[in-house]
Amino acid sequence: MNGILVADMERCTGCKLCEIVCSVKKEWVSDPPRSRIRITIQRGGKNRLPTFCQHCEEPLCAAVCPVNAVRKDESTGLILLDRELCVGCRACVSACPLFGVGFDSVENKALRCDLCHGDPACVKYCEAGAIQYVDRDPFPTNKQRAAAKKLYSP
Amino acid sequence: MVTKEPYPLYSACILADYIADRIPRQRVFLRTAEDYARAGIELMLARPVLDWSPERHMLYFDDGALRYDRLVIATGSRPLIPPVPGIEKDGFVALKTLRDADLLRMAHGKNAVVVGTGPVGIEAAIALRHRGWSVSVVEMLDRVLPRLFDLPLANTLKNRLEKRGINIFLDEKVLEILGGTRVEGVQTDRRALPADVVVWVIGMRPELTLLNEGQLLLGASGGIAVDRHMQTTQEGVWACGDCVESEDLVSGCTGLFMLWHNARLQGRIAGANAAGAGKRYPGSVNITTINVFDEAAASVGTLASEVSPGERKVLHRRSPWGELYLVLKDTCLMGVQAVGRTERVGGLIGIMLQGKDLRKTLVRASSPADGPGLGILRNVRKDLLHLFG
Ligand SMILES: Cc1cc2nc3c(=O)[nH]c(=O)nc-3n(C[C@H](O)[C@H](O)[C@H](O)COP(=O)(O)OP(=O)(O)OC[C@H]3O[C@@H](n4cnc5c(N)ncnc54)[C@H](O)[C@@H]3O)c2cc1C
Repeated sequence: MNGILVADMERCTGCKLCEIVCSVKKEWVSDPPRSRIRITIQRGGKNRLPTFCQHCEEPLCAAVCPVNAVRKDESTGLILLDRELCVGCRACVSACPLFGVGFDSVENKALRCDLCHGDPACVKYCEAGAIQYVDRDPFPTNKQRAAAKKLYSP
Repeated sequence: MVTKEPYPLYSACILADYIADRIPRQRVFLRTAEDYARAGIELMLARPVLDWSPERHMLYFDDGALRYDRLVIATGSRPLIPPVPGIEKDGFVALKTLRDADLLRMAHGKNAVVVGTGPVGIEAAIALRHRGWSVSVVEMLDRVLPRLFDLPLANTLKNRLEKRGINIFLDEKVLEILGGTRVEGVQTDRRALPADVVVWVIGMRPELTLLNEGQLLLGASGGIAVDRHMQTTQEGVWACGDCVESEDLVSGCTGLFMLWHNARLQGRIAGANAAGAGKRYPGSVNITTINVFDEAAASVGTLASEVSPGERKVLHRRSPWGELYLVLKDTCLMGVQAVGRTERVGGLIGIMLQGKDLRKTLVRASSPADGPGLGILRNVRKDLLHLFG
């Protein structure tokens, strides 16, 4: 598995079906606030921005985690959350420059997209084609991720 | 690796969760002694270093010494405790270590007084409230969390704390800890508060007792001065963490940014460089998140009260999901404070780090590289442009 999600703001209609699909697949309940992908509506509906973990190279979210619950999986390069370790402090939620981390206020834990282990459900249900699962390297399409990388790397 | 702590690595950041019974004690530990053994690191616990000779490359214990070729100083910080009468009494706890948290959990009584309203003080107050204590908080300044929030958001958080039964006394100075051998109360310049336990958390200072005069250059902030490679002014000696001063990535100011993530990244870099790598520290990120009961709040960068009045501009927005407070120096974003929806703080980090003229940023076409930050600003575009005149 070597893919990554990319979102197309222009195509997103803001229907938020992805949020429902994600919460059903991951939490077994239709509860959009507990989705790992979120559609942020800005500027009175003019911006519809699908946001999710971009699996950055030098993630600020992992740096601020006080319990080492956010870790890079060396074999896949994915940034994964260990939900057992997570104490729900929300440091990662506030630190991500890309709205990449959600928060589950039922379980009191962070929410992070794991790409459904290579078969992301949101992509399949997005009729507008606004979410795509593409090759991770090289990722010329993914300017957000590139921008995040520049922010904080030793 | 030598430490005076009797335990292997644990996270100070979740001591309040442990005090509040939200996590079991074993969860605060991040490493076991076996982890170090497996990594080929000899871990020497409960071994305070009493003296240091940079000339001889020696560290001294009460019963022996250790020679080194290269040294990384990571002595961290200790609670700031001014000479207030009564601090030696039983029941006075300056919260820093796991042992202090254990003491607070074992304490008996009804009334707790927390002195200081930094994040550690607020978290301790909430944790003690969860344990059923009647909690009062005393702060010398005009607001709670004074280094994270300006008055408007600090007031929101203060109200939330009060609603959950925490008494807050601002603009009050503690003069004395009352009692016999045990703590019985706290005398401020306005009142006497009953107390069975006093939690003292007015701030941390770099722990530098190991250093003798002139051995290492210190910065104006009182932390050890290091270069971009975390090297000190002594050949073969690196330093990292709460005991060093560093540069804030956002403001460019040098100071003490005693936060977990800064310490950890500095540690990685100091260690790698002591072993011959040439890594650079990008700078500190002054970001803090705090949970005030079920509401999250976060702050990054500079406070309005730290910007000179002539250049200062602020924008305060309330919405159903919380509050946003932007701090600007002329047309440059210097700080972001949020109550609720704290992802907006991170979302604006990129724009802060670019340090550009917001007036230009607001009028140019957006690109996917902007991420969500620009959208946040565009939401308040009219107000911002109005501010800029
Ligand atoms: C209660 C509490 C809550 C916190 N919460 C947060 C949070 O939510 N987020 C955040 O970013 N930061 C938080 N912090 C700050 C964070 O814990 C520190 O920034 C971090 O621990 C600094 O790490 P350090 O290794 O530099 O220093 P320290 O953690 O202070 O470690 C220094 C070590 O050196 C040892 N030592 C010192 N002198 C000697 C000597 N002479 N001989 C032998 N050993 C010595 C000490 O015993 C200690 O083990 C919190 C701190 C506290 C106290």
